[in-house]
Amino acid sequence: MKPFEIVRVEDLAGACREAKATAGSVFKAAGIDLLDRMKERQFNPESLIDLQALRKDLGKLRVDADGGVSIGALVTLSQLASAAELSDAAFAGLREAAGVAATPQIRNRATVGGNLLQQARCWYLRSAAFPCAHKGGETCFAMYGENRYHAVMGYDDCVRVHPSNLAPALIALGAEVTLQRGDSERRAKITSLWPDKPTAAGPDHTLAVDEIVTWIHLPKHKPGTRSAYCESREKQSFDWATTAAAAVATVEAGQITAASLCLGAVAPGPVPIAKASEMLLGKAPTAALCDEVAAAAFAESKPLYHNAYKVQAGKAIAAQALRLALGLEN
Amino acid sequence: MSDLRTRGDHPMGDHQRDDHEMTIGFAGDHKVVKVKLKDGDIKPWDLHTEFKIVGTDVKRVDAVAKVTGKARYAFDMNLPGMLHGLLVRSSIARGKVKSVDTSAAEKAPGVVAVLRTKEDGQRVRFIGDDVVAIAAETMDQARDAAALVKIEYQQEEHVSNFRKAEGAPKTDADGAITDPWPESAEMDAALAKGKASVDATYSVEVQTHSSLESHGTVAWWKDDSGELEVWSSTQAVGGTLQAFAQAAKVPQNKVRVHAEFVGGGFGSKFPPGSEGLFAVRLTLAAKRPVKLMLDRYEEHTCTGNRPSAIMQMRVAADDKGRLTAFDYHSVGGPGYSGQGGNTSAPTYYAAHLDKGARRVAHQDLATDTDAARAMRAPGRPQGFFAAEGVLDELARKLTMDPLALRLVNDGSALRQYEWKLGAETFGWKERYNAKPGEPRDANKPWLLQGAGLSSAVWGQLGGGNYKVTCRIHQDGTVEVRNAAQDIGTGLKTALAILVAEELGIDVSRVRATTGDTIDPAGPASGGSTTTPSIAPAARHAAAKAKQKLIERLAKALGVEATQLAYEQGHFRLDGQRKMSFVDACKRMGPEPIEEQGERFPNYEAYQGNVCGCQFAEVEVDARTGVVRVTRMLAVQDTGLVIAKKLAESQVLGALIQGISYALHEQRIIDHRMGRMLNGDFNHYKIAGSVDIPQLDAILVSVANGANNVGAAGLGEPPAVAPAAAIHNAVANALGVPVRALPITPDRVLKALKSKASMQAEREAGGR
Amino acid sequence: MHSTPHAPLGADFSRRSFLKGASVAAVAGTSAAAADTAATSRVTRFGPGLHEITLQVNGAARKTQVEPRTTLLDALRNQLDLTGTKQICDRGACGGCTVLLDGVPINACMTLALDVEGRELKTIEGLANGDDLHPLQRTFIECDALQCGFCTPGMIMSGVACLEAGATKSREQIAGCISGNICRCGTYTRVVDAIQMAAKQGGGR
Repeated sequence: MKPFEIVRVEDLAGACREAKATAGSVFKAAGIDLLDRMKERQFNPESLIDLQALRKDLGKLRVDADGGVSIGALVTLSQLASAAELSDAAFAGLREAAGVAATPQIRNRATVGGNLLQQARCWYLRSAAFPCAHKGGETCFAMYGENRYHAVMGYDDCVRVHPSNLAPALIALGAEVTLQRGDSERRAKITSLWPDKPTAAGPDHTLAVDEIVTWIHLPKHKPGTRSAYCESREKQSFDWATTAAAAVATVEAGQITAASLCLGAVAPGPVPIAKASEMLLGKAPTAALCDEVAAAAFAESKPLYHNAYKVQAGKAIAAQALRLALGLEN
Repeated sequence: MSDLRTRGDHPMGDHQRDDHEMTIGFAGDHKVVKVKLKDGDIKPWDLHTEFKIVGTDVKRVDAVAKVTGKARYAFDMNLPGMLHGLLVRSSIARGKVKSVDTSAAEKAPGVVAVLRTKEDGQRVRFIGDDVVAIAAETMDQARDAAALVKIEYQQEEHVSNFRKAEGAPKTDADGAITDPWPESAEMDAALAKGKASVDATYSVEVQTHSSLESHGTVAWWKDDSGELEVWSSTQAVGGTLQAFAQAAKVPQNKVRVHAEFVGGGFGSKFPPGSEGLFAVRLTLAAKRPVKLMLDRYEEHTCTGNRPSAIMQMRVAADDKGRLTAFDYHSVGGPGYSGQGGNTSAPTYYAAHLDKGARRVAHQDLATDTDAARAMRAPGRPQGFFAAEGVLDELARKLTMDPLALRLVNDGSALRQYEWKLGAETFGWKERYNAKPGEPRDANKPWLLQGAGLSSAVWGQLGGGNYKVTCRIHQDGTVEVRNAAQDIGTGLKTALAILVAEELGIDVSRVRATTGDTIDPAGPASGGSTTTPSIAPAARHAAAKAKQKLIERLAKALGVEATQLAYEQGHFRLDGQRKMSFVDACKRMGPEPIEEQGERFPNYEAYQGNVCGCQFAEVEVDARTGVVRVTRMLAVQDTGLVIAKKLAESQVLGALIQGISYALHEQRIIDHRMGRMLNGDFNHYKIAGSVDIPQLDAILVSVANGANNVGAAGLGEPPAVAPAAAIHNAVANALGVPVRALPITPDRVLKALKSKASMQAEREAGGR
Repeated sequence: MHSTPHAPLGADFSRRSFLKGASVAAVAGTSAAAADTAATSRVTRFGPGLHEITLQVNGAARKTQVEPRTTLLDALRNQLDLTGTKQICDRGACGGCTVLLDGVPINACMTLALDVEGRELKTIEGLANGDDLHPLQRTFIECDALQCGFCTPGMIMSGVACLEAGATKSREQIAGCISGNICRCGTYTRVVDAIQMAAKQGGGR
């Protein structure tokens, strides 16, 4: 890592203020993803604004008055995976997503906010040796290079994949976020964190340099709602997902009354599948229906030279997540 | 240890070198042979020897140091005033250094020494070749300085993909070699004799050794005394000493190399490497100790690997499965050295064939990538994967059980025994899927299961003229010393056991010291030769020391040495008075006893090969292509088992490494740049705890009649078969071979797709 | 060639001027910007040069000097000579540098030393009580759950956390606890044996 300074702040306002005032600064929570990039000297901020003092507030989960759950952005993945506030079956997918991410050691420090905003694991992007288009160069080296772990859909001129396990699980749950910038606070859909059309020149996320995700809000779900998160990976011990899917569904009197599906690890951003709920609502849950929806989710996939396998695996994973959420499989 | 008089209790006094009878072999097949003992050697242990300690579950003698964090590896050396060094490396795959500007680096904070490792005009041969060496107060400062070094190159076109190198065979879209086989009428006839034949191409990717302690050296030039003291993560303290002396231009008697603990090597740590040589040059320049340990990316890209290979084989067999032709050739991609990419196939299956029906050939193709180095059983996992895979394909064509095909062609009595023992223990009949490709459970049509097997062989039982020191101290403690390094195999423990057994004392009395060039020279830790090379000398040293103790005790007691008997750690005088080893040591006089044991050449009766076989069972998810190994068994000839638990550990470790090689590991290079993309542990995937199933090892103790101990090393023997057995299990599960390693989901799904299209074609053709 | 040791504390490395903070040592300062605005919270800046910190390691307070970029791993190994904690991948992917932070296993390589000041750290050197080994250290030896030994300290720290969490119901659960630790010699099955044995002997909850 190049030399840098650490700026410790005591509250949100101070954090935003310092971020705005300090050129070349970036927020740091646990710093897992950040240090990784800085060690590669691929990203060299001069100033890290350390948010860890905010853990006493943002490091918690709370059950809201409306019955939903709010998750502080500095909650760790380990906390999330075993949170009593998320014991309902509606949140099973979120707990699973947190519990299978990275390694036990990483989960003990990595935060929800950091997980959502981490950079893609593209090996060209992460290596200082490749002046790739997503870091100001001209070429997406992966597009016609070694792309076995890259995007199969939703890409334009950069085929990185969104690596967050939590993003699809939270999107499927219909989560919202609270964002703080200066003295003002706003609430938005969680999907607004990422660009609609991720490009090489475009950012990884939509936050301003002095803007912080503070809370993630999960709406209350109807009784009988279940969720699931599934991923394909090459190793069972610590690995990155090659495809991921999160599904949430409510079944009442044999009919699907609510459903959503979101894919991960297949595109530069998380991929909510809008047509999934259209296809599922009002129908009786069957495995065949799950296969149909999964196939539809990948209908517009455009695999690259080395990653066609992800389409097939991704369909299987999406169908499995749906079956679990619909209670067709345990 | 019972009666030592049957095993040469008076080694020095016994000049009669008549033929000595010993029983060699294993439980299933043994015989009495006569061996000629060299003058001074002691009588060998054999199949009937009853041991007290050898072959039991002795605890690893350096385990306490390792579990408490006190074991200091080279990487852990902190010396007063120590600097941190690194190498600035080539960013291009091929070209010449045009100019290097280190002026800014030299002025950077904390920098103490900057050296050129390549002069202008010198060639860089791969991305990662060294150009400049830097030593600074901290590693961060060294890295800051490295970023300031400006190197200009005269770039040349590179080839990093050996499949595109000059002379590479032509292949089709599936990677199968399409070039014609070299003509041979005899081979054509042999192939035609078979009832069925197979011609297939297999391939493997580059595996990196990935020792957890990276390569590197801490070097300390002591300007006052003109001495160079070095701590190196090495498999060869002796060889590196010579190289360090040369690099430092100091006499070899002024250099001392330590490697008390080594964090793995697997064949990659024989040469000192530029990281070692420049640690030495930097300490000379800075006159302060310098630590130069590589980082993980360098470890993947600059310290060797198990090379990639394409292997083509055609075989034929008669209706009984007896081979009629065995035609094998391979093409290796060993990197810039252009050599060392050899593969090795189990030709013993073809031992019964005429020369014209048995052909083996190899060709290496140089590329502009890091050079291959030996890695656990170099060449064999690749060649066995291909050949055992093709044999399974042949068995399937003959509708024969793969095990039956092996039994028909395997001429080794030992392996015949191992095959049967293994098949029974593993449950081969139940686990092998008699309907390859068909699911076992109709409710889970996507879950495919299968079993596979492979043979193994390794042929090294050591040698060399090595010496071992054994010292008995007055307080009854004992030392055994040799300069060879324990790289995790348990050498220290083996030496302690041998000496304890010979002396009839508890292992806890013996301190084994390894990895210090001040002690008698030992072998480099390679080819599974370390233990078999020095074990006989360790036993010999202990026997000599024991004899000296008897003589000293006799003198102290005023009796003849022949009146003293020594059994089970006790001395008896004329069968009467009893004295413990410790009490005897108190009477031995002020000087410790120090004896050097010798390593005599192996007997002529030496049997040769270390044999084994392995079995694997897998589950494949046909939807995602993910393979899981669910069970493995290794049946392994171990020569004389010295430390049972440690021997098992090493065999189990080979299975785990093999699972990782079979399913996960591959160096991925962007061939446009020639740069490795996954030089880390994020995307260079090494199997972890959750990927490992139930593993079993059966150790087959074999009295190999090689020398007075008869040990076999276990670095290579169990590392030969795992990938082959796993691939065969996957092929059994899928009903189609994958023919490439690692067996990643994309390859599994592709294989299933090709099977489906072949079936469709067959059905269409049948209509 | 010249030798430049560390810049002295509080050297002019930084881009802005510092005020000395009352309650923090040396280079840490309260920013002028913050001081200007009444009723705003305090902001403390460190580095980029050296700063003295106190780490609570194995029950002892250990003073050392670090830059903001100094990882906990480097501080332990290079400054405090606690070399049992290993540097292997240096990217949080191998577990070789596992230490317990407030009782929980983390990667020291992906943690800045400054970030853990005042928190309780335990390293492999702090497990045994003199010659009296931790139960898991004993079962590691008993089961021969090590070969070259380089992954062993990290494995043991993950194993201790596994025992303390009581996550020893099954071999699968134990394997999950050490899934962030890579071993190249291939000791996983025996590491699981050792943790299971320690749990049975009462080492776990």
